[in-house]
Amino acid sequence: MAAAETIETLLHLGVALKDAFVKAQDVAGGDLSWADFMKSDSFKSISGFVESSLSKLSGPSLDQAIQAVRAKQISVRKGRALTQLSVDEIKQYSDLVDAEQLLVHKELKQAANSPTFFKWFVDDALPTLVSIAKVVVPLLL
Amino acid sequence: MLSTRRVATGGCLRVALAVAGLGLGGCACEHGQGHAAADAGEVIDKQAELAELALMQCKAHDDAKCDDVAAKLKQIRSAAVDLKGLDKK
Repeated sequence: MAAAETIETLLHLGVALKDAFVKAQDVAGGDLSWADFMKSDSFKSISGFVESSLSKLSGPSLDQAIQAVRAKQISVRKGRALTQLSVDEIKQYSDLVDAEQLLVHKELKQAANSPTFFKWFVDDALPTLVSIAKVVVPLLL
Repeated sequence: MLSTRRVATGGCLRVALAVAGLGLGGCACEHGQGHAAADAGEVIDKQAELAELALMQCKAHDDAKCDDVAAKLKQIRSAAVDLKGLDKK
């Protein structure tokens, strides 16, 4: 899978999980654990998509994405010091570094259909994905 | 997760660093899975470099948050050293 597609898959997975979790919380009338969420109709409605997304992320996809992100960092910097980059280039480089930081997380490498992973993914990874996708995905295409 | 959020405002690069634990790399080595701590250390080095730039610009603009940025930068550097050390164990 191409690096841009990996980032988009992660983003879509995070958005789907968060959306389904919020809906399940509404049905439950408030507090809901991620374990209980996985028993909800809301989760069942996206479970096929979740399985499909997780299977796409297994294998070499993450490593390939990390290599592509690092290559693009080099391409943006062109051997220059950070102080020589324009504001736009610094934004690009910074978002690429954030992407790399996300992709090397052990939680992501060990992604699984589990409440622990989903909680980390929605609470910690999704905000970064939302922040970087608009800049990083076009750079990786 | 260590993360940096930067917003370019009027030519001044402002940095708000949020340090919320280190779920990076290290433990993955013990399980023979995931990425090496060196990967995490390397990427945090890059974050430190970006934070150094932000600190320079912060100082140039006499920003009140400079001390906070400097403190966070110190934490980032320390985290990078720790992660690289983990990978050698």
